[in-house]
Amino acid sequence: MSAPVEKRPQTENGLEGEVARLVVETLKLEIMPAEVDPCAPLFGEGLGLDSIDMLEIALSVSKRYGFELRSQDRAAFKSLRSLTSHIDQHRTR
Amino acid sequence: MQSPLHEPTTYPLLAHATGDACLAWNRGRAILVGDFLATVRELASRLPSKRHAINLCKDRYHFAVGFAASLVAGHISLLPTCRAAEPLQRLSQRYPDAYILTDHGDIPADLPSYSISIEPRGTAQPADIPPIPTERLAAVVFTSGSSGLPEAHAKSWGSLVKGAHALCRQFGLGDKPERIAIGTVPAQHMYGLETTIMLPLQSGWSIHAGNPVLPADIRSDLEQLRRPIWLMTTPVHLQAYKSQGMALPGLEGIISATMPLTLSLAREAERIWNVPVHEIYGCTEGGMIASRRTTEGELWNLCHGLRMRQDGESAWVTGGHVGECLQLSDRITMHNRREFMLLGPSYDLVKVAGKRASLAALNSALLRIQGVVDGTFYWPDQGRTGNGRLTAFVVAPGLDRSPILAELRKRIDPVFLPRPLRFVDALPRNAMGKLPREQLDTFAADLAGRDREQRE
Repeated sequence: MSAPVEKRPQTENGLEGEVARLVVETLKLEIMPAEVDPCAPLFGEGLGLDSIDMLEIALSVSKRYGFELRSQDRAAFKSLRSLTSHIDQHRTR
Repeated sequence: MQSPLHEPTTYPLLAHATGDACLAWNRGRAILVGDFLATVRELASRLPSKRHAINLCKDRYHFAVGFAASLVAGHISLLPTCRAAEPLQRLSQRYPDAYILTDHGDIPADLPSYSISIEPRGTAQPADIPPIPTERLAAVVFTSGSSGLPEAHAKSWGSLVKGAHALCRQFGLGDKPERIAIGTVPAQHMYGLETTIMLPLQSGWSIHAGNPVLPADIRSDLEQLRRPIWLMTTPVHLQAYKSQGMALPGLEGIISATMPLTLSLAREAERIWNVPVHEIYGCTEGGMIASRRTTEGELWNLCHGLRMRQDGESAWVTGGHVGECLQLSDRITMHNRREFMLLGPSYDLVKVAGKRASLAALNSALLRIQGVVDGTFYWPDQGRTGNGRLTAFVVAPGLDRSPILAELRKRIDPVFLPRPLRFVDALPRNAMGKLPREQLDTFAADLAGRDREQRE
């Protein structure tokens, strides 16, 4: 296991930590949710996720927060922070 | 069966009857054959005087325009499935006379090639359908070679057309024009190319423009289409649509490929959407080899025009769109000349999300990372349970997880990134230095057991 990360993000917003957990659990990433850099790209560079991952995240989000993500919401997948704010705006539960 | 002697010297670019037949659907709007051909000619006239077109278009209609324009210009389409920087760099080094055709901006900026944007334009005009020489090289598709470098597989126009005809016959689609093919796999993937580009072009169907990935995209696209639809997809997508309880209106059939579809998912899919679910077994080198309706039995029906030969657990196919003798990378047992059982991949081969890699190549990428003393990728379930990702066991004292993943990301497709990456003290190598599969299975099971104890 990697050493505890020092630059643990100070999440004022509890939702960001919750979404980080959801991403990590959905994709079985085996890193601590706090290790997800909130500003790093989720796809491509960053965590290096692919379109299957995008599908899995969209499913988890819809189950948990009661709304559907679309490809046109691509900006939402940019980073953990943008995904969190998109969820915050569109959640029905 | 047609012998090569009687093969026509050209096949038309498309099989639609008239210029005002529908070639594609774009957000509820029909794109006519005449519009398509005008756009293709216009683009073909602007192409640089090079020989290879790297077609990275994500929208399927854009892809078709680029592919057809390259064909008309006598250029060969290179279809990489991985868009990561290093593989694209290597591709353009290997084909120095290549240019990129793209409809989006996320291309690594430092590629020594330039981009051409495809903007659908042009107006309907009498369709003068270009004939394409049968022997012309149309496309090069890639698999991960065992050396770590992608292996190129050239496809002649004739073999692609014959593959599309074989698909039609296999599923009884020959007399059914006015269908729409909608796909969730990239057109750059052999299965996507066959079912969502070549099949529509050669059977008078319409291509669905766009690139739907998420359930909500698929549903809203389906709602806009006014013709019977065939969905070309994968077990991963079907599982997602099922778990979402998603309606799929207008479907006439579903085709699934890239990894085994479980019987229970096939049954569920047929029950929920009330359409037949067919499965294709194929490979990048040969295209479709066989198919089955999963709910009707385990046996695979060899594709029309192909012949199969078995020796031990190895099998070869010849004829039809495959052409010369091709050895399959899976182990099989033939039941009769037309039917066989699939026993699974040879042990070196892993398949994740429709992409294939050789374990040897992945291991060599892992072992090239500075600081990695020893390591191996491990495929826990041989892909039998569906969504399985790879595990990697790594001996790398002093090295953290993230630099290893960052290095791997540069060298391999992200679907093969290990989840999890496990640090271990040593690998269970035998006296010969080898890692027998059984030993690795035991090793992995022990680790998993220890993890469980720790958690409890």
